[in-house]
Amino acid sequence: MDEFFTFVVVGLAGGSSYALLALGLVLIYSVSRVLNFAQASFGSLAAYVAASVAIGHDLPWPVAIVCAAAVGILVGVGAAWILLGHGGGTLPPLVGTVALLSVITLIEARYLGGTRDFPTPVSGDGVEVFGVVLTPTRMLVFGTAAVATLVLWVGLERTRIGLALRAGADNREGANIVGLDPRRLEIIAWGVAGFLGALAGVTAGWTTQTLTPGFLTAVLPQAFAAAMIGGMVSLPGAVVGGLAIGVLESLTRLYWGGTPGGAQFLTFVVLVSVLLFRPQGLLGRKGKGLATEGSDSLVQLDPVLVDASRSSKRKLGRIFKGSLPSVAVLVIAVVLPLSVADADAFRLSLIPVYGVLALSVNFLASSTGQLSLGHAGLFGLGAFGAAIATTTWGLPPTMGFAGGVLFAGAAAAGLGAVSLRVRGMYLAVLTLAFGVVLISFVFPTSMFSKGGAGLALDRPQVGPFDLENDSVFFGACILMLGVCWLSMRGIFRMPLGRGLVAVRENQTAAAARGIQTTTMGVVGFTISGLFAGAAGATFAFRQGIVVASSFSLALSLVLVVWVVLGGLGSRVGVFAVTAALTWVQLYSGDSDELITLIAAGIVVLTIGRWPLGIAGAVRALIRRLKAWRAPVAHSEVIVEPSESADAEVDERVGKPEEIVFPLGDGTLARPVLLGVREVTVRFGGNVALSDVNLDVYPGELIGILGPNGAGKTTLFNVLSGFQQTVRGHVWFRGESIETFKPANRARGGLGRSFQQGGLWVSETAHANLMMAQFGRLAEMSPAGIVALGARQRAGDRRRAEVAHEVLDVLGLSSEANRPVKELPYGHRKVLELGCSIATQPELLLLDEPAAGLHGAQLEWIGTAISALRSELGITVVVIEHDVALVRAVSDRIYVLEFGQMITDGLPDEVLAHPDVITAYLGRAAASEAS
Amino acid sequence: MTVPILSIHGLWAGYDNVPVVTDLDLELPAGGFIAIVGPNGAGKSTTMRAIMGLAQVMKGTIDVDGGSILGMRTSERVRNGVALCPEGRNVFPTLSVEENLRTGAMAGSRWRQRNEDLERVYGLLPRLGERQTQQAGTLSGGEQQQLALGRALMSAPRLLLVDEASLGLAPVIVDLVFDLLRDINEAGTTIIAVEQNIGIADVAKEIAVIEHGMIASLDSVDGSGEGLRRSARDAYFGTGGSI
Repeated sequence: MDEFFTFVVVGLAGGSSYALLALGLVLIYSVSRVLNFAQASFGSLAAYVAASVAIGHDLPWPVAIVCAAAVGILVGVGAAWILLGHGGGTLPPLVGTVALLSVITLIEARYLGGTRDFPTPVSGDGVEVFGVVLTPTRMLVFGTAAVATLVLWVGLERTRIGLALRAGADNREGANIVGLDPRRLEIIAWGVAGFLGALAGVTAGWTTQTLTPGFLTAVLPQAFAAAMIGGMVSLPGAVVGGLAIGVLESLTRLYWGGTPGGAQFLTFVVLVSVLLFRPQGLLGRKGKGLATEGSDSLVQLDPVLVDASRSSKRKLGRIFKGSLPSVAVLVIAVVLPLSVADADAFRLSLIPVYGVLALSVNFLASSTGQLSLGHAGLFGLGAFGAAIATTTWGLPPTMGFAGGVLFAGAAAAGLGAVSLRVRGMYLAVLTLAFGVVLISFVFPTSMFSKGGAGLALDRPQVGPFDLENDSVFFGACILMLGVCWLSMRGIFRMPLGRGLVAVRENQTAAAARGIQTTTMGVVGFTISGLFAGAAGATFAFRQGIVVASSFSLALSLVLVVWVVLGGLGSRVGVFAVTAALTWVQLYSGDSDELITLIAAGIVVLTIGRWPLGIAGAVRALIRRLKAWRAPVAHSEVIVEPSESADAEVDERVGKPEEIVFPLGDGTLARPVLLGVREVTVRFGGNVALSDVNLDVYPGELIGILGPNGAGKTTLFNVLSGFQQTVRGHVWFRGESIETFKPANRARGGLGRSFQQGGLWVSETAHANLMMAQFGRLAEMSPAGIVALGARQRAGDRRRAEVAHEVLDVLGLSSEANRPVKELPYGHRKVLELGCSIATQPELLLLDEPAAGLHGAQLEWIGTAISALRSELGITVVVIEHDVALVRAVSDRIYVLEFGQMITDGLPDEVLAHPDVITAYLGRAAASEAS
Repeated sequence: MTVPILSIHGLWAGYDNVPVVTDLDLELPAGGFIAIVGPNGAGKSTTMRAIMGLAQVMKGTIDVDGGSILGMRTSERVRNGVALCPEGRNVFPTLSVEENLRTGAMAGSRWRQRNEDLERVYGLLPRLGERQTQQAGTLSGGEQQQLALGRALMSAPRLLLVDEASLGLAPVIVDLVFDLLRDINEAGTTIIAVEQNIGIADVAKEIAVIEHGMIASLDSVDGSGEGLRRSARDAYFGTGGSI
């Protein structure tokens, strides 16, 4: 029992450092919505400075602490200054802090003395309480954390600046409006976090009595887990979380001590559980559901989708263009190894390996918009997989290679399935923890490491090629690189590429167009994992032996630095940087740390300005040169759409007749296409919708009117699956759909348009129409997604041509290849209408299709809405503010006010109803009218 | 000739280089009370936000008391006596009512007088006084609207911008809020109120109708409150325009 309590006390001491780190993380996240991956390095840097002052310069400890604190504050403020406020999205702070972490760790290793002692300033035997010894160090550590927490709490609750910080964290927009300067608040918060980080570093150092470069980074997952227990916004939660994790970790060592990495595994389990089951933390409030605007991609990449119909029509031209890259690869694979010496061939073969690994990280970003901090783990899985398959299971080497590839792919699929519930920064944390678990818990087990000896494997003979020969092996590596490169390129030319980009750029729009967002994400992860596995398996054969130490957290982080420096989304940029830096590493072993330091430093300094790295900067330069040389005259005149709105993608001719069924007694019954009963929605204390009932019959055109804030868009969000209800039922085509996700409702025939945010703004108008069709394509023809066969490719080209015809009808032909973000508002509204029909819905919910339009465009929209029903047979429900428009096109009108349906019926009846007049014009007008 | 408290000329404003407000002119004398009405997307809110420095200004001038405020940070504009009661309230949900009010006094130069200002606001809005320690997120819509208004008043602004105060509020609360605006105006604060609800014509002194990003008509209330109601009714019954 004494042992138990001793370990608890030890855990509390360790947990104090976690609590301090977590406090800093929560503070930064509350104010900046950024996960600070460098928080741990604030701490280790401060500890190194304290060591240097107290031991190196032999000054008293209080002076050392003050210096450490000052350094922490300076680094925190500096990081906020450089990384924030550039408006580049969440990527710059995410990657910037990762790069900063690398920079600081390298500085500690190279310039601050590497591993060194860090004795505690207090001594003595301590106090014995209930059989447990409380050493002075542990009391000091715990006391420091307690005092810091108290001071922080008092500061936030009782001071003017504390109020400002809390306000900024609570509602950034509101803070702006009352005149607070969010940027200044952020810098203050980061400075305080730096101070807390310094305390964490110093206390952790006293506990372990040693400093190693980046020693706190290893416990970053623990700190994140602690912060997440507080939902990333609760300070008490962070403290409780930190202490709890410290104690749990300590007890793990007591009961499970023999297993290395047990603590990391535990942390991973805690992290995953919190993120999946209670993302608001144990003490937080439940957040909103799926947002209805915008995307979760970390950065906006350049347009990537290619117009299939414009590719060379001449068969010979196509064949030539198609096979040119492959031929080039073969040529290089033969020529390059022959032109270098054998010893060089061995060294240089590392370049294709790391190249493919970096490209796999890049592919993940291109296909899902997410960044992985754990790819060294997948790399290792590929290597170990190949080794185990070949050595332990005795499979032939080529199958062993495939085994490694598939092993990594499967793990990546699992990682994707779990982590895609969250996105952005949280996903990055999960991948970090995943990598750490693999490296510290999985790889050291005997199956993988054979007690430290590692797994050995020989290179095979493939046909006439003996891969034991380094030159031949080098050629094989180049081939592998070429195959991977061409595959990555090819994927984005397939229809599958459209689905991936659609989900990456705008999850909401993708779901509304019937694309399964999680499935696409998992596909992206899996393919990325397969490529990482290929790199790993190749690495295994290159080394001849696979040991756990080859795969480290540092490698994962350096990969991120290379990819970001080269340019996210640019295969050429990423490969160039990786190749260059690997080459340096191979040929000047001593200064490779320095080079990495410089590379990471460049990333920190430039990520704000150029989030797309070197490739992005080059592309921007080229664009500017082109614009300078040939200035394009953009006409100010808005192009008017063509008069006839009747030529559409798949024509259903003829106005649908009213569908009725005769009942037994001769009365006629109409089936309801969309039925809504007692739908109620609450936001906190606010009732947005209350007992709403609605019936839509097939072939009808229903209008929904109501003042702003009445709940109209909320109703649409409920019907399309983006909003949960407290109570109520929704039936579509006779089926209850309340539990259906948006993509499933769209595939079932319930389509929807958005006021804004329904388009993929970084891609072209034509690409938008193609992406809008992806959901339907995926459902009809699974083989069509990959489009490898000639028939599928022809079908795809036909679809692309049809999309051009649609653009013609919409009056947007001249804008077909311009990114949507450059199009004027009116054109976007028109395109939105086009995209919402692309899924060929039975019933279409139109959310303010005419908002902000006037003149000829307004008329056109009115005609188009009627044509949807009369020419295409689509049942339409439209929300609009233009009463004349709604009156002109609708069969029936419903009126919402304060979340309730106040009346419904024929247009003239409804518009004369006194309650409706009151709602719009006030009581005086109602009494005048009657 | 006194300098108008607010003077806007040729304003083009919007977001992400897309203009919503096009070539807007507006002048307001000190002590005035102008209501800006118009359909959705016409640029009412954008005008308010441009005055506060929360929207992108592409062309044109905005002067307060004869001095240009373009390029000033929002905090400076608050110090210059402009305050916004925003659309959607934008209160601080986890802070208490009193803390919310105090944030209104932070940017301005009246932090020291915050307790007097609090008394003043509680006097004007007794409902808030009853709920000083309640978390703002748990207040009803009408109470949150009063809180947003009170917060704006804490900086003792000379020019108060009110954006769609009636949104989502029950008619009886809307009347209360409009009466409050009249009281505030009579106490000396110049007010611009953007509204969808025609009832604002009962308390404002001038009405401007905004359409497609610019002012289409400007009338003082004594003259044609009737005219406004008539044109609104025309829009409503579908002989032209929108609500």
